[in-house]
Amino acid sequence: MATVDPITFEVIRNSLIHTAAEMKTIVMRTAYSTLWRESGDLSCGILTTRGEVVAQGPEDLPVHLTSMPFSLQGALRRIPLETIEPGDVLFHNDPRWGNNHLPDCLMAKPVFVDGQIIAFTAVRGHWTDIGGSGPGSYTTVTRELIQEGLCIPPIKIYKRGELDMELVDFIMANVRGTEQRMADMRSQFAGCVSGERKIFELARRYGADVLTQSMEDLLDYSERMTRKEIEQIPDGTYHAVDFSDGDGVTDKPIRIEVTVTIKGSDVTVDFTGSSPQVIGGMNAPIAVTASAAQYAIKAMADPWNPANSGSYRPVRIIAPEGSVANPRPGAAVVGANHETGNVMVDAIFAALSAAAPERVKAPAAASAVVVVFGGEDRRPGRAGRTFIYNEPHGASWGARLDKDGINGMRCGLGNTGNHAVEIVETEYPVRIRSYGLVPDAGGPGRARGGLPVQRVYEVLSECLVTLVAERSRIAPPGLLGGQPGGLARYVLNPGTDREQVLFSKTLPLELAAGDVLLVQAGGGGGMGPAAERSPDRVREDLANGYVTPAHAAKEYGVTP
Amino acid sequence: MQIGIDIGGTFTDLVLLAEQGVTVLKVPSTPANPTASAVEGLRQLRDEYGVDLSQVELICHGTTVATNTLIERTGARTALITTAGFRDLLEIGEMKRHAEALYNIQYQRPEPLIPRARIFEVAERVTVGGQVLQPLDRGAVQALGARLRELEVEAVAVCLLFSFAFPDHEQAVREILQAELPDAVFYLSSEICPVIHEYRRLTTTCISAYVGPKVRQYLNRMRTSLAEFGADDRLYIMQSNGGITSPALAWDAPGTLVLSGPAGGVTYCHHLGESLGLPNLLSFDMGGTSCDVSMVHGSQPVETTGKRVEGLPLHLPSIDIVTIGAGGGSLAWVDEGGALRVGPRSAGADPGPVCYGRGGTQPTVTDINLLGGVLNPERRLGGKVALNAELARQALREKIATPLGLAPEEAVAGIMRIVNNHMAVATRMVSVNQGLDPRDFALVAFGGGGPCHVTYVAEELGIPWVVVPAYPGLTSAYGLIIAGVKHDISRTWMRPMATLDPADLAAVLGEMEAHGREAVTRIGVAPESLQFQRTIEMRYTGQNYNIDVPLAEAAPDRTALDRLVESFHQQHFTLYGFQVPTAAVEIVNLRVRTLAPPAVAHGGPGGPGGAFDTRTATPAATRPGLTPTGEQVTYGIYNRDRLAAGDVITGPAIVEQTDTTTVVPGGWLGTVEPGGNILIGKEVWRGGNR
Repeated sequence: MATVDPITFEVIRNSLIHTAAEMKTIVMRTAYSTLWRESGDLSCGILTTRGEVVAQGPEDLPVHLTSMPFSLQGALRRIPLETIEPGDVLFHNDPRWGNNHLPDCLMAKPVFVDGQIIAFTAVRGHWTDIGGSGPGSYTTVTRELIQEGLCIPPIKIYKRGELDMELVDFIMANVRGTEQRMADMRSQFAGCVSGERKIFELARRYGADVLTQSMEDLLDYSERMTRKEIEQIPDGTYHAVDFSDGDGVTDKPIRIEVTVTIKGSDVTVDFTGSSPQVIGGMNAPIAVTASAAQYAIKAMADPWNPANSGSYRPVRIIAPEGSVANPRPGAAVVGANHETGNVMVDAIFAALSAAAPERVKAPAAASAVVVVFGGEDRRPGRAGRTFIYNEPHGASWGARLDKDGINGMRCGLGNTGNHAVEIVETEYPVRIRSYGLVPDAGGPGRARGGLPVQRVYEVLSECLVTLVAERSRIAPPGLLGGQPGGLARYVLNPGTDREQVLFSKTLPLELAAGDVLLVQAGGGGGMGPAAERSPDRVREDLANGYVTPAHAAKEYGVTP
Repeated sequence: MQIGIDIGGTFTDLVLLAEQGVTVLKVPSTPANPTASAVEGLRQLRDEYGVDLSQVELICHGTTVATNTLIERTGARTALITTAGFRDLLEIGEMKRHAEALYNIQYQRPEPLIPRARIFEVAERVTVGGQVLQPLDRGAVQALGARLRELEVEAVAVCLLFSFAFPDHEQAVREILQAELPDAVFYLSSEICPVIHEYRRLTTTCISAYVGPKVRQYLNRMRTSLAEFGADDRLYIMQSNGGITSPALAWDAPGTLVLSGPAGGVTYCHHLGESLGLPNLLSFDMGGTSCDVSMVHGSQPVETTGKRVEGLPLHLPSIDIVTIGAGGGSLAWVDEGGALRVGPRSAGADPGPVCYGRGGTQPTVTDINLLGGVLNPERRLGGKVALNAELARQALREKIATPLGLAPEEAVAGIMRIVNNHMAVATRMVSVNQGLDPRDFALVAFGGGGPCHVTYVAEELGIPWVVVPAYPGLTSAYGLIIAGVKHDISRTWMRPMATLDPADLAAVLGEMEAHGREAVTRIGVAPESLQFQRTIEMRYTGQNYNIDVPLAEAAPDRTALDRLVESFHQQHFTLYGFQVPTAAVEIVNLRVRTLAPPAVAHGGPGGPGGAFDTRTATPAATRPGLTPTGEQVTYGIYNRDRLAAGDVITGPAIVEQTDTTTVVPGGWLGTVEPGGNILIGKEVWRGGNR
């Protein structure tokens, strides 16, 4: 086995990270769906033949990357390495084979050097539609996985360099917006190829053995870095419980219980005590549960170093089979990715607030607040074209020990951007009436929770809308004496006689032209007692309109 | 006669170009009052060189005032006015976390340019097609006046939804409020950046308003200072797009000055490529803390509208400069995981590298170059600073070699390789992101540090030629003189290509040309000298990122449109590796650039080459040194001042001059061409147009 000197190691490390970034640039610039090109709901990675992520794009989604190993390892269980030939490309989306949920489709291209696979380049993207019961394939109000859309177990979508059009036609016949899906798939492939080219170059330059050894060293290195930080957190067993609103099939809250044990540089995250698996799509496949735990520990312990699978090695997961944290195969799962998963993240931070309060953040929106509109675009010149408009909103940070929560910024497992208002109104029969922060919705505390975002839509033609969100029943808790953040609100036709308050998860609902939908995520929880907040900071918040005079008087006892 | 003035952090460079030749001058900068050093330089030109400054045709200046105002957050008390319901667009931004905040839950957002307390909404609404859904509430706008006065607002940014399609409401807001706030300056998004995508338009307008008053004040002061020399009406300013403009136009669009500082160097590089017959260049400007990489392709500086400053999109055409944290002061360090890293932290000017003996303890790239025999321990860096190799050696041993168990020589060579690789990766990003192969380029090195490293970068990327200009320290100032006037106008004009009537496109381009002509002739440029460049931003219908496609014709016909679509497909292929000939293509934005050629027709440094005889030069001395691969070599040492046209230097060699040190590695040859530039390649340089 080759040994790699520290200089070559550093050079290869730097090159691998840039390679993943280049891959994402290529995919975003060529994709058609707004979810990719505007929001960047996709991630790129370079993986070892064991399916460990070595390098990822610098702004990628944590949930895509932490779950990517499960997904590729699943694919390799069905299609063993030795059966893969040059030019083959793997593709799948099936949670029964390690994937997180159906919309996130994995494309992975093996990189062959001298007849041997030395790595995979992979692009994981959230397809705007994957079939199933409504446009955007995004309702948790289902009873089983196959209602959620087309399940694609691991397949070779390219065989020896040839795109298998039979498979592609079959897939395209089962999803909405075929032209866009084709274009997005092409972008995924372009991303994989650009990564492959760069890996070739590195292998040619340094030798395949040096390159693969460097990849192994890089994983070990990240593991070392993260372990050093975990050692700073006091040993002990820490516990917390948080709740999801429920799956929408019933309105029964889902209990997320975590027990985190820190011992030296090892962490065990145990979900025993969490709810049994539920009927609707809120069950977290083990890939998602593991992602939540791994992300939370990485964020607390070692947020600075580029993430890879090595950083996740110190974390061991216990999740009882048949629970919401590890459902049996075939369970509905679509919303767990960023709903159940984000509640898990909040619960882990809450548990560890007793151990290292300066490293955590209070709970917040715990949701991607996904709103999907779909139907036919009846505007002049659009000829009734099918549209699917899927935009995530979840946006507020809980407070930190000595810092307020950030207003209107994504947190947790997801990290997609918003869509520009002018782009939305150009592309879709939707008008945005307002888009802004919600005063008083940040949980009071010595450090205030972040303000969530509220968006009010008016639809201009009849269409279906589906909601997958959180925190409308149970507010994001505060920590260490801080108050909860504001409850989320999802309201149809607010302030009219047709007003209807929605549960945070819905079936595809029929809207008529002119209907209005208000979407407001949960606010960030506060940290520390509100009475300890400095009156100057309250007055600053008053000047900026982050709190109203009435709220300042009631929660902080401060008058302007 | 023309003068270029480049005010840097340490030195202010002046270049005077006259019929008789070139005069260069360096004076210490005065950061507290930047105009003072410029005035001092001009006085020296007048008093010591006997230059009659009232005869100067053009005094051109590259300034970092806009950039520094942003970085230091010392801009105007700015207010922002938005459409009702959209007060928080600036704060929410793109909503996602950027790389530095992805896992860091203790992250803090930077101070906003405009706090929420100074952001106000006005009732009005316009639709996609530019139709008024809700008229502007003029009374409410009027009522805002008192509040803005109370807040002592100096600048007002106005950004309403869809104002690119319907600017009237923004204009009305200005009209009403200007009467209320006679001293405030107003910037309308429909004038600053009239293109679709409210967030980019908003940030570009806010940046402009935030830096606007400072820029005005600065340019006024500069102009007043020039009155002493009878040249106050001869002042021009470099813009981010690599063209110059008058202070009057810069006041109206101060956002165009954000890259004014580095743009001169890129313009020089462009000129150098023309004179040497090298159409494709990557320029490397390496200073103390960072390295700026930019590109000239097909004899055109590569531009972008996707620039970010302080994390905010600046949606104006600007030279595409990628900055990496690798400079002479970049620190080498061993991290907690036992990896050897270089940068991005820097020793800065204070304490500076260990060898400066000012208290630095962590080795820097400059220290490594000293220990590797690249820098001469006997010489004074920049003519001023004495170097202490012993201190550097000690720091290397303690901080790097011992912890990693490496011999000192291995550590020196390793750090050199890492720095060179950082630069190579950045250079790759610049070219590969544009779908271009770096091997088709030549590298140009300027700044104090560039020439030490650049040939190794070339070697790593397979680049055949490296150019070290005659005066690497003066390229920016010289670039200012040879840049012509440029004025950019953009407009969103969304049309499908399939059904486009060429006459409609010709009409709107004609209108934009007329605006450009009007603006540029207003600042005194002769209308008959003007040229126009048209850029059509296109994409496949359904995509989000546009590709800039040039259009040669002022009045395109059907055939010209077909060619336009064909070029779009080709460029898509070059950039992304595929094209879709069957897919629908659309126009998103139009851009028209009005250009006036530079006043300078004659050469200057790096003037035209031609046939010349070559001879092998002999080194003045030798010095032992190390290469990045760890070989012990004996460098031949040459003095740049003693080299003549036609001299050929055989690597491994080092060329020393006051403002930089050039390394010619083993296996490479450096040819001094008649313009005074050194061309480093694997063979002797025989002239251009390769």
